[in-house]
Amino acid sequence: MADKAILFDASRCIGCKGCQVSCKRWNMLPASIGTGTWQDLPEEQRAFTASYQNPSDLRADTMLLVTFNELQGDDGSLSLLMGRKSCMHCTDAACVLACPTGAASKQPDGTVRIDHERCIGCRYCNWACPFGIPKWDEAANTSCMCWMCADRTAEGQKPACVSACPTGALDYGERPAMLTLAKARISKAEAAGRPLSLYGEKEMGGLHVLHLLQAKPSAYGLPDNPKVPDTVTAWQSVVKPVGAAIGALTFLGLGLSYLANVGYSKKQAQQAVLGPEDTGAPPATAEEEKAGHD
Amino acid sequence: MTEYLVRHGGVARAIHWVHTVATMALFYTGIALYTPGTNFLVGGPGGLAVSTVVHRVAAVAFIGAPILGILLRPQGLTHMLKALLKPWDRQDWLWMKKFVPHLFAARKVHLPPHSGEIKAGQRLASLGIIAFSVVIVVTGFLLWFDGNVPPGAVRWAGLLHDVAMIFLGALLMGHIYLGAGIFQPLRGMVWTMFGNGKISYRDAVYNWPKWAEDQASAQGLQKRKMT
Ligand code: HEM
Ligand code: HEM
Ligand code: SF4
Ligand code: SF4
Repeated sequence: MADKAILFDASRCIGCKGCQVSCKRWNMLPASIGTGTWQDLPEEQRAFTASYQNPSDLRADTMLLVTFNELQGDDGSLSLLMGRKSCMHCTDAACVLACPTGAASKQPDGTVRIDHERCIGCRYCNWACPFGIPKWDEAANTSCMCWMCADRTAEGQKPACVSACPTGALDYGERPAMLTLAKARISKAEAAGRPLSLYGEKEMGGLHVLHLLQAKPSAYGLPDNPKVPDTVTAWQSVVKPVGAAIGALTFLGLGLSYLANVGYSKKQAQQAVLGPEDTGAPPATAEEEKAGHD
Repeated sequence: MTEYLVRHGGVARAIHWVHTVATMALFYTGIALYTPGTNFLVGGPGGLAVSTVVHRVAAVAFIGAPILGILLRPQGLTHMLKALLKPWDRQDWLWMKKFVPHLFAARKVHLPPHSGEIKAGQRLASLGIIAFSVVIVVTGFLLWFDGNVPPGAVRWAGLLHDVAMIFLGALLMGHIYLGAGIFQPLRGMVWTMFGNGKISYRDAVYNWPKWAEDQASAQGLQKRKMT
C-alpha cells in the first residue's frame, strides 16, 4: 500500500477550529470544558492566557489542536500564525520504538496507531515523542493520539479533519502526491513574494503529516530539528540488546563453570585445602597454605 | 560431633529473605516489560496491567526491608559496610587472581586463605549489588512519579533503570550460583542466609579462615578439636 499523508498549509488556515471539532465529533470525544475534567487541570493551564488556543495543549480527549502562535516581526509588528498540533505519523516513530507492548505500531499506510487493547498506560510513548503528542488517559489507563481516522480511510474517505476544513488548508492523499502539491504551492507562493517552507519531507525519516509554514518551525511551537531522542535510541536499540547479551553470557559462563566442576564435591574441595576431616589438625595458616599447593 | 558458628543473625536473614522474594518478583515483572517479545511471561499486555502493579508493590518491599532492618538493628548495617569496605591487602589480590581459574577448574586451582570476614570477590560484588540497587530505586521512583519529572529526565531514568537492572542481574546470577551452592564446593552455605544462620566450623574455616578462628574463640568453640 502506498503511504498516505495529510498536507496542512498554514498559509490557508484561518484558525476556525473546524478540524478540531470535527475530530472530536467523529471520534466521539467530549468537549474539554464542561465535562468536569477541566477543573482537574493544573492551575497554570487554567490561567487566562489571552489566546484563542483552547485547550492549552493536547489532552487525552483532544487529539487535534489548532495552535495560535504570536510572532513579532523585526519592525515590531505582530502576526498570528495558525498551527496544527497532532500526531505527525513519523516514519521513524519514537513512540513505536519505545512502546514495550507493541500497542503503538506502524500501519501499512505509513501512519502510526495506538491499539488500546494492548496499551498498558505505561507512558513510555509520552516521554519518547519529540513533539509531545501522546497523552495519558488516567481513568482508562491508556495513551491517546490521532490515528488518522483509520476507520474512515479504510472506507476510502478522508480523515474527519480534512473533510471539515472550509478553506482548503488540509489535503489528504498518497504521500508523493502531497509532496508534489506542497512543492507546487511553494513555487507559487515564492513567485507571489510570500515564501513558504516544507516541514516533514525528511524529518523523522519523513512525516505523514506535512506542513507548509510561513515562518520557522519553532515559531509554531514545533521543534526545528525533530529527532528520536538519543536517550530513547540508546535505551531501546543499544542497552536492551547489549543487556540481553550480557545476561546470556553470564548465564553461559556460570553454566560452563558448573559443568567443569561436576562431581567435585564440597568434601573433596575441603580435603584438598584443609586435609582429611577429624584429624584434630589446626586450620591451615597462610604460610602452610602457600606451601601446600603452590 | 560437628560444631557450628553463627554466621548471620535473625535481622540480616529476614531482610535477605524479603529482598530475595521481592527481587525475584521485580525481575520477573520487569523483564516481562522489557520488550514486546517478553510480554508473554505475564500472559501478554493484559497481564502487564497487573504485573506493573506487582512491580510497584515489590519495589516498596525492596526498599522497606532494609529500612526496617536499619531501624531495628543499625549496627548490622555498619558491621556489613565495614566488612565490605575493608581495604584490600596482598592476600585479597592473590585470592582474586585465583578466583576465576578456581571457578572453572576447582579440582586444580584452590583459593588461598584470606583475612576477611567476606571474601574479596564477594566484597566487590556486594558493593556493586548495593550501588546498582540504589540506582534502580532512584530511577524507579522517577519513572513511577513521572508526572512531576521533565520528559528528558524520565528518559534518562528509563535508560539507567535498565542499565542497573542488567548489571544487578549479572551480579546476582553469580551471587546465586555461589550462594545457593550450585557451585558445589560452596554447597550448604545457603543456610547461613536462608536457614538458621549457622555454618559448620569446617565449612567456615574453608571459606573464611581468619574469621572462623576469631569467631571460634568469640563464640566459645574449642577450635582445635573442631575441624
Ligand atoms: C531489583 C530491582 C528492580 C528491577 C530488576 C527492575 C526492573 C525493571 C525493568 C526491567 C523494567 C522495564 C524497563 C523497560 O521496559 O525498559 C522496569 C520498569 C519500571 N520499574 Fe523497575 N525494577 C526494579 C526496581 C524498581 C523499583 C525499586 C521501583 C520503584 C521505586 C521500580 C519502578 C519501575 C517503574 C515505575 C517502571 C516503569 C514501568 C511501569 O510503569 O511499570 N522498579 N523495572
Ligand atoms: C536465591 C537467591 C539468593 C541466595 C541463594 C543468596 C545467598 C546468600 C548467601 C549464602 C549470603 C551469605 C554470604 C556470606 O555469608 O558471606 C548472602 C549474602 C548477601 N546477599 Fe544474597 N542470596 C540471594 C539473593 C540475594 C539478593 C536478591 C540480594 C540483593 C538484591 C542479595 C544480597 C546479599 C547481600 C547484600 C549479602 C550480604 C553481604 C555479603 O555477605 O556479601 N542476595 N546471600
Ligand atoms: S509524532 Fe510522536 S506520537 Fe506521532 S508518530 Fe511521531 S513520535 Fe509517534
Ligand atoms: S502508553 Fe501504551 S502506547 Fe504508549 S508506550 Fe505504553 S503501552 Fe505503548
